[in-house]
Amino acid sequence: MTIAAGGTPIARGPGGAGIEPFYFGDRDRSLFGCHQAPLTRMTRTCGILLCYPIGPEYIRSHRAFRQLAARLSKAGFHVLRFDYSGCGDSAGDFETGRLDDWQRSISLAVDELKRRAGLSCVCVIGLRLGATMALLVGARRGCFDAMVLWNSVCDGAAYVRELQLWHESAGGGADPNRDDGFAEIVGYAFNRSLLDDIAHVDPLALLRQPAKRILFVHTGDTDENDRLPACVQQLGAVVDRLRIPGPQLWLQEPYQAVIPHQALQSIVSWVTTVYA
Amino acid sequence: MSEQAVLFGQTAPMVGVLTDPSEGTKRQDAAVVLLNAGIVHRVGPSGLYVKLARRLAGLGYVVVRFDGSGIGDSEVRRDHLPFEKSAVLETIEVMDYVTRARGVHKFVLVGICSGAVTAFKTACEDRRVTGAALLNAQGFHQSGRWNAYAMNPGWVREYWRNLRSVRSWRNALTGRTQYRRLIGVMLGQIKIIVSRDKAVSAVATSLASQLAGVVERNIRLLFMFSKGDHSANYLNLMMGGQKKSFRASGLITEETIIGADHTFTRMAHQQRVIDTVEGWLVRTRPEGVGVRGKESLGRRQEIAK
Repeated sequence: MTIAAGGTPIARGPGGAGIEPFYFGDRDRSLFGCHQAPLTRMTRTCGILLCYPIGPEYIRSHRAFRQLAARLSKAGFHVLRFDYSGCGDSAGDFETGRLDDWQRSISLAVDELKRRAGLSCVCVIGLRLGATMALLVGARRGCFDAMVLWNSVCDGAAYVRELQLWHESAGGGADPNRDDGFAEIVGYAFNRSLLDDIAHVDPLALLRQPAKRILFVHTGDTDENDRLPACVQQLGAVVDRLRIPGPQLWLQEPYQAVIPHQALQSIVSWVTTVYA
Repeated sequence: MSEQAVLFGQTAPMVGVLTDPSEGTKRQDAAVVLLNAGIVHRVGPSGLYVKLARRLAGLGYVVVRFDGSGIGDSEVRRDHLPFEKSAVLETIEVMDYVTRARGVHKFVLVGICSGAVTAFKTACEDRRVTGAALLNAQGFHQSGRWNAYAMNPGWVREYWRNLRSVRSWRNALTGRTQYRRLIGVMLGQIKIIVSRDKAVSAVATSLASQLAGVVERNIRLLFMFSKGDHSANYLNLMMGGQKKSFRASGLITEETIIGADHTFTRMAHQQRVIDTVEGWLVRTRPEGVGVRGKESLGRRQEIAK
């Protein structure tokens, strides 16, 4: 499959402004991105990359991420949202998804944002597994300027169990017609290798500082993990924490159109303070 | 196959993805447009639209998935046009774009839920539409009485089934049942049986005439239902006393999926949707339907009023 890649002018009807959808990255594994330039005269010195959660959580979070991007753009930031390889509008199939590929997608998106915005400083905001993957990429690449980790996954094995429980409670069982190499989770085929990858995710084993400043955001009634903030603090990051009451948007049905305004506003306030 | 990001729209920029068949694949004379399932963005519920678009591009169709205004990545309209009108106008705009960009003059529209209704309404307005796949189409008209009339029998059936459930009895006896809703549904059903609601009849007559108009133009229609979904009842009401003649036209295909939810979440049900739509296109060939005019009926300004 070939896809219009980075640098290729997009086909544009009349009236297109504000948001720019495009494909970037490798020609045969292109990633879909949406760039929003600042809507203010003043441009902040840092671009912001948004990292979605995966699978059924992605569909449920898209609307809130769109809102978050709009608010950040109004606050003067260049914002890039993108789909991991095989997810959303990006090339490839979810069924072949692997964690390494998705972390590579994050890395490509960081470079694309820097290129488009003409900035060298990047702040990454991630939700659930998107936050954790960004954290791992930050540590591997050598430190982002800032990060917002929103209900990040701190224990991969527990997260896999959570996904499986969700599927069961939604009335789903194993599909007898499916190949053994896959497990269905709320409409998405997770291959066994991917589930293994996720189960072995352990951000507490980080050896390098992922970002200079990190905001941990926790929404919902579940217990907050204290060990990850302590871990990154030990590695040298300045840590802020916010606990925000409200729904866990990634679990709500899309038709409910849940927008966690308080969480979004808190995140925007934090980044605008950091990059005042 | 290749995919391209596209922006279109006169009033509000809308984001879409255009999927073209591979070079060498015989290109069909019609393009397929996938319409948002409610407010789920253009990838469709559980990514169903992405898979469907790629499969249909494999058959040689140019396929467009796009976000209507205010949905997904698309901007909000500022002209206060109600959804049922803006959705049709925006679909026409997307068809105009594809006509200009790919030289295609025939279209097959596919939608789930409100997207299915938009597909039907657009088919009524634009001669370029030669086929429409309507998956769990509900509504068709904004009248509250019409919608209550169409959905009430389904709710009654649900309560009837629940009579055999221990859990439902436990809920009823411990005050966890929504008694007001239960009473409303039962009263509504009695009203349906004993009286003829003129407002409901007027909507049904108008929809039957729209359906007849579409059938008269030789448009291929696929209605897919999840078993137990209200959508089957909407079609029954629309066909009214003319069920036999509508079905005898051979233009209407009906397909029911047992066990599926409203948005076909389970993978087996997604697969069934993809296979059914593909099979229907191959069998009924909407691209072979002749169109009398290449442009829309010229009612755009009228719709916008």
